[in-house]
Amino acid sequence: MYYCSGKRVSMNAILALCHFCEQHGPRVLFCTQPFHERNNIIPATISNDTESIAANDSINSELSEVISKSRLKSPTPKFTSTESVDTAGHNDGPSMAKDRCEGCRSLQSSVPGYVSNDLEAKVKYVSSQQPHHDQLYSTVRQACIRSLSSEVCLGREGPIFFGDSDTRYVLSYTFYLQDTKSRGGRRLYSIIVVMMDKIYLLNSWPFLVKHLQNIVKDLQAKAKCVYEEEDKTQPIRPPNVRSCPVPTQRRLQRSRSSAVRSMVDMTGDETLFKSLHLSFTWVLKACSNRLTEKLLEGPPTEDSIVDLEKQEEVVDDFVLVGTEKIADQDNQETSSVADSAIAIGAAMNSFSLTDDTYCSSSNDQIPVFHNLRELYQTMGYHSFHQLAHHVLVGNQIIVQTDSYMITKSIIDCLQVLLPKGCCRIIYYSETYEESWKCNFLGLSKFCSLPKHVLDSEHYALVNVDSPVPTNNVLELSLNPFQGYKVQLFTGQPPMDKASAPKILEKMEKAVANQKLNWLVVEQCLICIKEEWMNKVKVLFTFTKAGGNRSEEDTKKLLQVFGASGEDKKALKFWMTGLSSQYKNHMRQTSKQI
Amino acid sequence: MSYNQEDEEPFGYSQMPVGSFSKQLGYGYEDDNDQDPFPGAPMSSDNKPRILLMGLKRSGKSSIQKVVFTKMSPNETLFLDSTPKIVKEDISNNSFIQFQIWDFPGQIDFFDHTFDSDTIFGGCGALIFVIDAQDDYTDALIRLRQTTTRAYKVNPHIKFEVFIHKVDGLSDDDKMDKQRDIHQRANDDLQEAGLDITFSFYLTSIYDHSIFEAFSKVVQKLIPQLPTLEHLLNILIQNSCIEKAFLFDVVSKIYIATDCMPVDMQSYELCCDMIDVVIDISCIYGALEDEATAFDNKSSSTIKLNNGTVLYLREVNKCLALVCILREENFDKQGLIDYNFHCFRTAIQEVFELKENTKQKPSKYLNDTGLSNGYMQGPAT
Repeated sequence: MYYCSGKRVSMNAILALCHFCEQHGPRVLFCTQPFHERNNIIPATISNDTESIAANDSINSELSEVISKSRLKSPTPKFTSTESVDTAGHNDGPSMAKDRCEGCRSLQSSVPGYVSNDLEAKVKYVSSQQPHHDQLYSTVRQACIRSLSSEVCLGREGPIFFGDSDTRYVLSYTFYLQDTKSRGGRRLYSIIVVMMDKIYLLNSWPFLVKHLQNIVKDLQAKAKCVYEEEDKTQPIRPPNVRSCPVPTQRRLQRSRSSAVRSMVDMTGDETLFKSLHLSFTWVLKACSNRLTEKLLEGPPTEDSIVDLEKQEEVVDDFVLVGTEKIADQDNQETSSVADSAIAIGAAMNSFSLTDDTYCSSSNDQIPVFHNLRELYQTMGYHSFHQLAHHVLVGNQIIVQTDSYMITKSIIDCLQVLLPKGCCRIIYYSETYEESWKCNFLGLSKFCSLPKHVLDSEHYALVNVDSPVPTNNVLELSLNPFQGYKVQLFTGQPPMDKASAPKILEKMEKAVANQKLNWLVVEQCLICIKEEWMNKVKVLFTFTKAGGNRSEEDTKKLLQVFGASGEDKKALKFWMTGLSSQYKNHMRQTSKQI
Repeated sequence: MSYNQEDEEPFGYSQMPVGSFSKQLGYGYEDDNDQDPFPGAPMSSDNKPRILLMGLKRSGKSSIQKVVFTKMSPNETLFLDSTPKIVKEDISNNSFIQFQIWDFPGQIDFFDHTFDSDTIFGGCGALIFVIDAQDDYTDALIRLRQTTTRAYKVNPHIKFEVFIHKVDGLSDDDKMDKQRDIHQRANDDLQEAGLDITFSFYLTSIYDHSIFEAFSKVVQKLIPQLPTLEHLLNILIQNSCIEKAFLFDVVSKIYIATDCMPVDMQSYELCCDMIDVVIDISCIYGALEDEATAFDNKSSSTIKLNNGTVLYLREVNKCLALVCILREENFDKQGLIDYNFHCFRTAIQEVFELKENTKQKPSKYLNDTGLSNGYMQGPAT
């Protein structure tokens, strides 16, 4: 499966509780659906919690009514004045039968539904007896009939999947609730999840089933309590009935068991549907947060594949990451916090921990580098060129500043130059970390570099000195780094321009071009990187596939794809950043040859 | 041919994996059915006819099905919960009666456009409409009219049977009144709708044998060889001085044929009870430990009653038994009776073979001519 950066697609699902009514057959009892806000016209007066619409606030009630009725029909609903909304009409949904018995009614007519607002994601979760939109209603109704009547295995409880592109895809969880007043002592219910997207629904299966199960268990436990209480006083199955051959007892039975009963009555829970609304809302929200759909816009870049792999790593090694975090909380004094946060780009949890720790201590006045161009301007062409060169060939970059924020911003800026697979970052450490652990290291100002590092040529140290405090506010706002001294130390004499890899030249051109918006430059860098990644792939294949290669052969190859000897170092370093998916693929195919 | 493919499909509810979408159920829109040029033709493999149990909710459909075919005790049926789906039961324990019972939920209208009524009623042999006689049956009659009109439109070959059910609580006069009234009103409805259908009415109850008897008659209509079987039985009783002979399906205690003498309810009950006795006795004393069958080709029994009658039971094949009632004095020549029975059994086996042979002919021919349900044409004798 390929993921690529693109638009996020919001999940569209409806959760509904259905019941096989003894009088009326399959009925939709209660249904929760999300409404995605397209433009921000809903007044922010609605608080972020659940409210019984009619009971609490009449304005809200109308609002929700309008939302549910008009939102689906037109993307920009017009708000009518409150008087014009017909509150009596809300019950008569599409093709709603007039005869709803207690058993197939969830909400009293005084309560049209419940609304929960997710202000952040701009989603409203609206619960009502049934969907108000005609087409949705028929979809849900049909799913309901199927879930309770055809796709049901009698006596079996549990999840089932069915559907097609016409009728939507449905995950249905059927279950029984015990009830003394029902035929057979139990009633059949189901919770259905209706979605357009089959793949999404099936991928959410483990999550949905787990949580639907919890909801169901809760309902069953409540119903069982009531059942057992009633069974004591009025046993559903008189012990002598089996031995009674005359059908006299049957009359009594017949009249007694015809009673229809509301679910609230059966479970003895007054707030049943309110809590169901909350549960359903949570399931919908958590389910849509769990998997984010992305539209594929072209083939995936190497970076996105690496990202994906790292994400998987983190998920697989969840326990590992977790223990690391606990460990570093314990030893916060002795070892560095960021030590464990061997910053693989995706382990965001660890980041946020360190971020928070240091943000609070840092001063708001301290400027940060927002992009590479700012760094370029601050450092000047020469230093930047040197630094970028070191970055590209994989030398360790050590950043020493007074502020964690500056350190982080410098590293973040620089890592744009490299493919993601090549970046191994430690944002902050009290002690020096070896270069095999990381190629970007944020080091405490008070830590000096060990001798073997100072002796080697393969490092670059960026040192930022804060200025003496000044009160000149005006100056600060013009250039945030006024007064800051950004210095570069390297272990080798400055490399001449000719020895720099060709890719650097192109990147510098893009960064230096003031006319280009930074977003454009970013895309441009991605593009350049991808171009060179392809060259790296060729080189990788070349080295892996053919056994021993002479220097001469390699040179010829480099010529073929327009690289020179200077690029070799960078290319070799970049090879380490290839996705393991690609590497494995290459190894396997080259073996076959 | 599409028929052949469908022929190979496993048929029947019990064979479907949990959660699979039953094609026969006819939910949703199935393309291939829309192209079916003969919607009346059955989809099932060996033209197995269906018996549909329909009626209002709580009229006793599931109870009938359970009592007749799964031997549930009538008292137990009080605790059945409502049927949410079409429950299908395959009755295929012998070569004469092979059919499916479809028990419908009374709450759902299966003529709704979401259901494919062609698939549901297309291969149907008989439609039993159950009316609760202890309840107000006005609604039931309205539903009966709707059901028959629509089902007839889909498949004019359906036989319509009306069970006036739960008559156990009624007095005899009451029963007769209700039957007359229902008969009158239902037929008026039919005339009004201009349909050329005849209903057969039965007074039934699960607490006595009336339900078995009614079902027997329904099933007999689906057996194409019925005239042959009746003829054979007539010859047998005439030549052996037997008063009454039934050919029973042992498992369901439905009689699939009897001679031309009128059926007396008491003698039928007597025969049913005799089967029970024989099966029970041989279950307890007869069957070896690992043998599950209580009824095999050596099964036979004679019971003498103190009123001078003899009940005589013989095995015909693994599911059929012949039960005869005769005067004690006529049982003297048991050898003759046994010989006649032997002839009778051979004749029945011949009928079976004939059926097997016709089945081997390409069945799609039958389908294409619309004479599909098998029971339309019996072998000439």
